[in-house]
Amino acid sequence: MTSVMQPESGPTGQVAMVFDLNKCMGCQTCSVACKVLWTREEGEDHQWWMSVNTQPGRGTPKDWEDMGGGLSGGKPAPGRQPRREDFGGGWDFNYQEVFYGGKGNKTHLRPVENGDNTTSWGMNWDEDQGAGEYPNAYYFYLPRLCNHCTRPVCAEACPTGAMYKRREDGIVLRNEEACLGSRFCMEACPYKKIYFNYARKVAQHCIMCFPRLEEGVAPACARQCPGRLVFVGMLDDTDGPIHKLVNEWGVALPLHAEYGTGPNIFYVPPLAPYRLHEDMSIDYETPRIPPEYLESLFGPKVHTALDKLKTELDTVRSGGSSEILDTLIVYHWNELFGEYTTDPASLDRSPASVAVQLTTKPAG
Amino acid sequence: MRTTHADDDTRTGGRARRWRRRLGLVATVAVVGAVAHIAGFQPAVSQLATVNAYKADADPGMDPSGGPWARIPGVAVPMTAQATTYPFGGDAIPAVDVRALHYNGQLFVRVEWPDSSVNDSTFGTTLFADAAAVQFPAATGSKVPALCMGQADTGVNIWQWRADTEAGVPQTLPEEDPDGVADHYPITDDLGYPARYVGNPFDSTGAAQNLVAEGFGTLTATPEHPVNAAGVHDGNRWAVVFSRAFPSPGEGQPNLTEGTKTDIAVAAWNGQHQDRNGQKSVSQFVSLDIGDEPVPPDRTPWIVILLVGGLFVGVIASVVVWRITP
Repeated sequence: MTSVMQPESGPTGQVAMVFDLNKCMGCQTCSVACKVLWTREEGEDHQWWMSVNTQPGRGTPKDWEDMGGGLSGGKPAPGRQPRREDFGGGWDFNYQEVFYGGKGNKTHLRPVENGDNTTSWGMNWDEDQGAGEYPNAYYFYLPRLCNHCTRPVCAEACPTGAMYKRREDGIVLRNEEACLGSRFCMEACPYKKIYFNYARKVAQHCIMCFPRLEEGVAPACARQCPGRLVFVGMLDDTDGPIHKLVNEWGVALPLHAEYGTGPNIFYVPPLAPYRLHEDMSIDYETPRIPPEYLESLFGPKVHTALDKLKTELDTVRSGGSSEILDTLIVYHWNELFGEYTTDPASLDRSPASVAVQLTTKPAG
Repeated sequence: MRTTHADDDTRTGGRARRWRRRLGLVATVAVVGAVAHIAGFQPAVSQLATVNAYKADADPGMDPSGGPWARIPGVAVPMTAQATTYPFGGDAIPAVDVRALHYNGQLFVRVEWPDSSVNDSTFGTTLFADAAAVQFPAATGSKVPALCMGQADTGVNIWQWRADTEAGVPQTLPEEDPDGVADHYPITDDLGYPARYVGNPFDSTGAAQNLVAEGFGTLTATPEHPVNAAGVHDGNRWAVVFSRAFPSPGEGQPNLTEGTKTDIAVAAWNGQHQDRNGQKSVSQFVSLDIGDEPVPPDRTPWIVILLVGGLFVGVIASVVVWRITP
C-alpha cells in the first residue's frame, strides 16, 4: 500500500525564495516559464502556479485576500472556495474568425465567451492599473506562487493525507494518486494558490520544481527571470543570500505573515520613485506608495526594511559600499541560486533518466 | 314496530349491497394477492439487515433499471451523516436501497437513493459530484473492520462510483482543440508534458475506482481497475450498479465465491449539498450473503394475464351477483 507518510528521521531544511520587487518589471516570463513546463494539459488552462499581479489590485483569484483561510490564533480560520470565474480563463480566442474567417480588419482578436463568466477575469486582468493620480500614480508587481508554508494548512485540511511537507527541503507536495479532488486545501490556503484540475479532478499547485531542485537546477521561474531578481536557496544556509536578506538584514519579508502559516517566499519591498509636487518639483518627503498599503501586505517590519534600503542607497551614493545592495544587484547570475546552479542543458535528458527523476516519491 | 314491504325491500337491498361489497373485496384481495405472490413481492423484506445476492441465470449487465433487479427484494439501509472524523457532515441521503446478484463468478451490487438533482460536472471549483460507494472487509471471514476506512490489521476494500467521472470531461475541454496550434507552445512530445509522461495520475478507465484502506489517511487507489460501475438517474433517484469478478484482484480485496458471507456498507454523496470526501451519508455494515437462491423468474406476462383475467372475473362476478340478488 502506498504511504504518503514522511520518514521521521533524516536531514531537515527549508528551501526558500526571495523576490526583489524593486527589480520586477512585470514581464511574466516567470509565469510563462512555469506554465510551459507544468500546466499545459487539459484541465490546466486556467492554472498559473506562478503569476505576477499589479499591486494595488484585486489579484488572482479575484479578491483572494478577502477569501479567508490560514490560521487565526493558531487554529484554522474559515476560508471561501475561490470560484472558477474568480480564476478566469484559459480562454478560447476567435482565431478562426480572425485568421481564416475572411473578415480581414473588420474584427479583432478577443476571447470567446463560453457563457461561464471566465472571460470576466484573468490572472493579470488588472495589470498596470495600480492606484493614485497623475503624476503620482503608483503600482508595483508582485510575483506569487505557493509559499511552501512552515505550517501548511492545506495539508492539515486534506482529509486523505494526500498533501505533505517534505522533510528534507520543506516543499509542500501532493500525492496526486491519493488526492480525491475534495478541495478542502483550496478553502484552507489563505494565499489561494491551489488550483483544481477540471479534467483530472485533482487539486494542483506549485511543486517548487522539485525534480529540477533534485538535480541541482533552480526552479524555472527563478532561472528564466530576465530581471535576475529571484533568489533560491536554503533558508538556514547562513552563508547564502536568503538567510542574510531575511534573517540578518531584515530587508526581505513574507507576504501577509498575519495569515499565520509561516510562508517561505519573501519579498524585498518596493521603494518606488519620488512623488512630484504640483509644480513638478520632486517631493522627497512623501513616499509615492503609501506606507500603510505596504504594511497591509508585508507587515509593520516593512518600514524598517525600507529605511534600511534607503540608508544603504545613501551610503553608496555618498561613495560608500553596501553588502546589501551588492547582494541585491547580483553581479554574477549564479549568486541567485545557492546550490542550484546546474545548467539543465548539461543534464542527461534521455527518456529513461527523466522518468526516474519525475517519479520521485516520498520515502516510507 | 310494524314493518312494511318498503322496509323489507330496503332491508333486502341493503343485504344485497353488503354481499356485493364483500364479494368485491374478496375478489380484489384474491387478485392482488395472486399478483403479488407471482411477482415475488415481499413487503416485509425491506426490514431485513441482510443483503442476499441472488443467483442470476443470465448476465444482468450494468443497466440498473429493470431486468432482474425488479424481481429481487431491496434492503432499505438507513444512512446518517459521517460523524467520526473530519470532514464531518453529509446527511442529505436518509436511506439507500441495496440489492445484489451474482452471475457466472461475478458479483453485482445495486444501490439506489433519492436525489432530485443531477450533479455530474466538476468543471468548476465549487461544483461537486454525486457519488456512491460500497465497502467490504478486505478478507471474508475476518472480524468486521472499523466502518471508517478499517484499521491496520483489518482493512477495507471500497468501490466508488462518481457521476462526474461517468459523465466524462465536459465539451468545453475538447479532446481535439481546433485552436491548438495557436494556443499552445509547440512542444508535442510527452517529454514536454512531464505529468503525462509519467502517467500521472487520474484514472480515466471507467466510472469506478477500486480503493483499499487500512485506517484514516491510507485510502489508496489500486493500479488495477477490476471494478465496473454504471449509474442512471430517472429524474428523482440515482441507481448505480457495481460489479467485480469473484477472485480477489490483489492485496486488501476480498476473495468472493458462491457461499461467501461477508459484510457490506454504503456511502453516498449529494453534490448539490457540496458533499465530498468524508462529508457524506454513511450506513453501518450489513450482512451480504452470496447464496444459491435463484432470481425469481420473470412473471410479467402472468401478471398481465392475471390482472386482465381478474378484472374480467370481477366484472362477471359483479354482474352475476347483481342479477341473482332480489
